[in-house]
Amino acid sequence: MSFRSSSVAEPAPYGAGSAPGSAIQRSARLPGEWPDGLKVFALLSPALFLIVILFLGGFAFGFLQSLGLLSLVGDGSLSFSAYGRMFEDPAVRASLPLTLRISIISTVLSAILAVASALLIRSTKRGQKFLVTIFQLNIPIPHIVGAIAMMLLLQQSGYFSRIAFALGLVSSPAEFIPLVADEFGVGIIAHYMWKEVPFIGVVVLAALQSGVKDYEEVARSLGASSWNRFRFIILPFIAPSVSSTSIIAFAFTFGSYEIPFLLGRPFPAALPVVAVQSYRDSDLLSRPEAMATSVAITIFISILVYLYMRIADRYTGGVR
Amino acid sequence: MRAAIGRGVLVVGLLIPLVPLALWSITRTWQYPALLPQEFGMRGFQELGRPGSDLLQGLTTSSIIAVIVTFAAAAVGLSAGRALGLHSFRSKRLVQFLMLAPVIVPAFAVTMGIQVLFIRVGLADTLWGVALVHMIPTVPYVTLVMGSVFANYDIAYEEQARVLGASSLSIFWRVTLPAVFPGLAVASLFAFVISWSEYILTLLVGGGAVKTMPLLLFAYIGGNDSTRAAALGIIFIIPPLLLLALTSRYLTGSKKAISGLGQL
Amino acid sequence: MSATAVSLSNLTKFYGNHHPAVNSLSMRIEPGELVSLLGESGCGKTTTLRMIAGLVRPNSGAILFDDIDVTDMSTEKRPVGMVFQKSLLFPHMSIAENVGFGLRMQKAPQKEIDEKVERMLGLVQLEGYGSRRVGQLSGGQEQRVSLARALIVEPDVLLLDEPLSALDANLRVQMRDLIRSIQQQIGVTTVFVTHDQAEAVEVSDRIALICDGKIEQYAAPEDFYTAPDSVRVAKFFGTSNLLEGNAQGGTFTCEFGSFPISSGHASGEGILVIRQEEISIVDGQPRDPGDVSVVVEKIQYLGTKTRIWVKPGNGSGSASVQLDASPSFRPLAGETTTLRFNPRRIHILPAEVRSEEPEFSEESENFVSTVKEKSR
Repeated sequence: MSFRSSSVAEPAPYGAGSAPGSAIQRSARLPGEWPDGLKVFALLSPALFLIVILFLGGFAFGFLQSLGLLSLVGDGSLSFSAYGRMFEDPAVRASLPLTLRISIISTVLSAILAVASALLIRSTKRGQKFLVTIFQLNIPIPHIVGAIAMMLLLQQSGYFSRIAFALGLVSSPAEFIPLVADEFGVGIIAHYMWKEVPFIGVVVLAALQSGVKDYEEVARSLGASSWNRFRFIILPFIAPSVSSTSIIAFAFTFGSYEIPFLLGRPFPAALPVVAVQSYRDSDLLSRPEAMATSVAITIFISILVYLYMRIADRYTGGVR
Repeated sequence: MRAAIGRGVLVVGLLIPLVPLALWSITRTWQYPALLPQEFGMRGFQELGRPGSDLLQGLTTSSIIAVIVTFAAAAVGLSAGRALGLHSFRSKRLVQFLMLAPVIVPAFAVTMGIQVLFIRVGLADTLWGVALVHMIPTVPYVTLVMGSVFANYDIAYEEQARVLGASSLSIFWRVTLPAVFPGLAVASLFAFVISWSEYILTLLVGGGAVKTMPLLLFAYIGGNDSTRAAALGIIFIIPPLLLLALTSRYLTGSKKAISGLGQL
Repeated sequence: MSATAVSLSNLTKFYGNHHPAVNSLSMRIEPGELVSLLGESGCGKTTTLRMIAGLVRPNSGAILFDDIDVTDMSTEKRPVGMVFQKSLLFPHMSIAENVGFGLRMQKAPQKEIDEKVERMLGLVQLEGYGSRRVGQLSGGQEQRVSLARALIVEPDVLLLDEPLSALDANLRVQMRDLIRSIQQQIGVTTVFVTHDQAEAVEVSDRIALICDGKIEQYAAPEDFYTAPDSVRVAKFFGTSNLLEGNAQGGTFTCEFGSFPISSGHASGEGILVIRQEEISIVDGQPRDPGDVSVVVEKIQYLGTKTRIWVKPGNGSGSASVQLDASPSFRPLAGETTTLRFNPRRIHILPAEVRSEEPEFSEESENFVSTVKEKSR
């Protein structure tokens, strides 16, 4: 059992075929009340309908198109050649290391900084509200605006460059190291971190403020130093929050189109950029390859999340 | 002492990108390497006053879509969250995974797939089509948050109301809704911001005919007009920030809602 | 290893600008003693305990363990062990890992940790539970593990903050005995916070009754019954027989009559305190000093006893006395009978300014304090 909220009182399992008069009955059925199975179905159906049609359907159609079927041109016969072409495509081959690098670095660094920030905020007595406010401020700022802000900050004629000039470190815009549209993807990583640290941080902060303090007091009475308290008490407590939001962040950064397009180079470009460019290519014959790329992205992320959920379940013994 | 420095770094780090953004939006002339604009001006914001301008059109379209999406996603997510949080049933884990998938999987991938369908059905290039496709990334977030809210919800309140003779509608309106409101507010905030900021989905399905603010912004980023882009950016931030201000007490007060995100 | 004495010297703690939670509190706990801090919620007992632990810093005053001033020492460095109301066992660790945590923090070798953990689990009667997980234990078992975890580091002072309040009544009694016997076995100086007077009486060497951040009385348990220091103490321990009157020579005169008291007692106004257990019914007319004639005012049959309220024999006056009699004795209201106040148990308090408190019966006192506890 981990620190996940296992204090949830789950009603007795009903299932679709709950026998009347069964021993565990939480509340007697009132006249006119629907059976539980029907209730659940009714509640879930709008969401399920949307997900199945739009999401699964979209994926299915995309998959079929990647196989050459359902296309608007071409002979419409089944073929895996789009995948072959995708693996050979230099744009894709260059894109993979870049995309992985960006996602991994930004997510890992964001998680570390988010935890540090949350701990810092928690320990702040005066001005805590101010810190929390600006922390939360970044969350609703749309990525596109963040990208504009980052460009104005990081480009060679940007604000950091001007500060460097004032400090005598550079004497012209060209001397300032390129941070946007650069090979490594620094600007992209900086942007993602700027957005992900508050996102992960807010969730971690909420977790930190829900009862860890009592356990910390016990640990203190047993002689645990702050580092030990962090290692043995706090970290396990916030691990679910951190890993959960980090996976969401990783998946987002891996699959995001806008930011790498705006802050990165045309080549090598991030995988989603490659996919969308292919898709919007006027040459409709490249459509299947575009679909193949996005199917590949989807499958990769899905496997990742599935693995994560399996590991998380095993760690918590399935208790949620 | 170290903590104070840390806090300073945190504040600076969070706020500094907004500094050039704000400054550029009120710039008339700002040459390198000045740290402050040489001349200030409101050119960037003047567009707001011009009726029929791209800006006003973009704001209107974005607002309409975001509002539709927020309410629809809230309704759908509220009921799905209730099912997941309050009930146990077979294949619950599968449903959870399904609900979660759109949070994780990039929406553009599936949108590329259904575009064909949208064209067939006539939803392509329409506002409703865009609103519909915005549901893909928003409904799962709302469901996730509401699922957590309902997991901590005590159904005894509803049973009590029913015993006192309230109708189902009355129970929903007077008991359920007020009780889950904080979480719902947070979830709706997410839905709004996601729809408000959405670019690629709008582009793919709207085909450029549905002109939302992100599309407008994108166009200006490419150009050389930093003032215009920055001003547009500032205008674009305002509605989400306003909503954040309105719901901020729920954001920190409702730990359960937030921790819903930590319960993957 | 000899036990540690604990001295608190003028401890004061303010929260905000209100009156202090702990108000210049001083006390000395002898080595190896188990002292209870007893009082209602909000009286400052928990704050005092947390100051001894180092979790709360006093605004002024000092805390000494033997001769060492620990007031500025952080909790991590203070040689204390704590058990809280919630067991707070670390959920992600096994029972053995929980118990051994303190030793691990001291960087003790694993073999030593394992041995001591086994021994500790045996001490709290949970042999073999080491490999279990936290979710598999009952409330009482968790508290025992919590105790083992605190004791394994051989603290100089053991601090218990209402450790039994979350357990149900039967379990509470068992656990109480276990804690007391372990404490005496090990001989560790212990401070025990509770709001339950019966618990404090059963378990403690001495009790400090705390009200409004100050010590009202600090004495052995029986003194609270035989010689309460004030009306407040008397009432807390369930006496409502408080008779105003006058002490002169060797007699105390009040509305009920005259009672013999020790001749050395100061003259003047005072309050006679007599517990209901120390009043008995005698046949016939008053004979010995301490016998009075009374008129029955009200009775209440309680199954195991009859509770009787009486007024002075001449029928006048506002004073009232309550006693418990055998359940077979069921007098009628208005009947005259004779009571004997046990002369050895008559206790005189100096006169006090009495606040306008309504007369609660014992049950409603308990009810009120139970409600207060539950809404804390």
